[in-house]
Amino acid sequence: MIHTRLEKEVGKKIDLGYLDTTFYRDDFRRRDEPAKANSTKVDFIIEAKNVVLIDDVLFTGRSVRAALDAMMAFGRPDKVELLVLMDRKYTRDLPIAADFVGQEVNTIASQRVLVELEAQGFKKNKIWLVNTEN
Amino acid sequence: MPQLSQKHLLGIKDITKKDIDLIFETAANFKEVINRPIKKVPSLRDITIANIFFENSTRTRLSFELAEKRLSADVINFSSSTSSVKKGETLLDTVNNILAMKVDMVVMRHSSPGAPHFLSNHIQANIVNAGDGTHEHPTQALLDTFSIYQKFGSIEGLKVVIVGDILHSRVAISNILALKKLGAEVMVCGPITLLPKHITSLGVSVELDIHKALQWCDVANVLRIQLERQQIKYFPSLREYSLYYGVNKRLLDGLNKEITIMHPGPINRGVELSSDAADSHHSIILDQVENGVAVRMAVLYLLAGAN
Repeated sequence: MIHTRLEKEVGKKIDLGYLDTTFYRDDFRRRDEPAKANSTKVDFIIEAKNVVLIDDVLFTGRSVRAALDAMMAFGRPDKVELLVLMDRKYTRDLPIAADFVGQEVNTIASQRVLVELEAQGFKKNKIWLVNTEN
Repeated sequence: MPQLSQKHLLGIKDITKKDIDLIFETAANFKEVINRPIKKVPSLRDITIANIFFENSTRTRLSFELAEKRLSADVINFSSSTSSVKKGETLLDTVNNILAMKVDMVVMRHSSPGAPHFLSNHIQANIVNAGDGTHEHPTQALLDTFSIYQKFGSIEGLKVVIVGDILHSRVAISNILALKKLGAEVMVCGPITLLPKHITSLGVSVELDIHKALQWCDVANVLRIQLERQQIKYFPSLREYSLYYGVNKRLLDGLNKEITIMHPGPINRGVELSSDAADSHHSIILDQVENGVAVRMAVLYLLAGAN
């Protein structure tokens, strides 16, 4: 979705890949069960390219750290920037900041932010802020 | 979140269909990983794995070691021919000494059936059975069925024949159990002297005529004639075996359909499988080897993560 709009804006082809970070996570063996992996599909080498890393929600920053590691398995990019739809402020565990932010939101750690996109098969684009019992 | 039902992988008998599905799903992801320019992920970087082989092996051991290294685990190797086992140390003492050096997982091959089960009652580390005598060889069965799954998309309802020395084969037993759990129809084919007496109790059919068996099946898994396990003669000569049960191109061309040929290796070329069949487009033997690394990565990853 972002990819097609971006290609239209700049008027040239941009490579698109999907990255799964499961095997690079830093909480392996620290959770009760292993996290379930999704498929990675990167059909090109990112050596010497400019990369925009896209995620829905930026929370602790640990996923982004894992994604940076995972990405380096496909080459050494020239430059990496981070784009997130939702930036949860004041919840970071690591010194990671987004370059492009859709919306900032003030949350506490026990809350959850869920993103539903039409592109994923949901009826409407929605962002939920859910309070969980702790 | 998914998890295996067992702490060890001792045999296919002990795991469920759900476990197998989870291993397949994870293995497919690792297959993508080992085809990347950088084939390594850091998942098991704080884990030490001991490969303990009381019986010879090239392929299985290389495959395990590669799987462990691709997951960034620390690996130590042990083979009985160069060890204190020769000095009379017991199995439990040997393994406990290795575990005292802070090892998290043990991959073991042993010539006695049940050796890994015995160990699992006495030690804390995760155990992966890499073959115990004529009993089970679970990772081989998982990689065989995973190879079939990747080729056909599903195993439910497929017809698989296992050809050769069923009597001495742990690969056969584990394969039968895995295939039945996944809903395949299984047949065994070989000289009557090499078929266990009560094999039909596992829910498989028996066929003595190789041509009829191949005509029936979608996939033929051709086993190696294990000369090292045969103290007495089960058939008159290798030449006679290959005449009656050897799978070759002529036999395959004589069928009115295409079938897939598998072999767990090492091949005795010209005995159970001729070169023109082993190297033909029917064969997925080298896919099996590639899948072996991915499947073993999946097993180690899932067992290690379940702590």
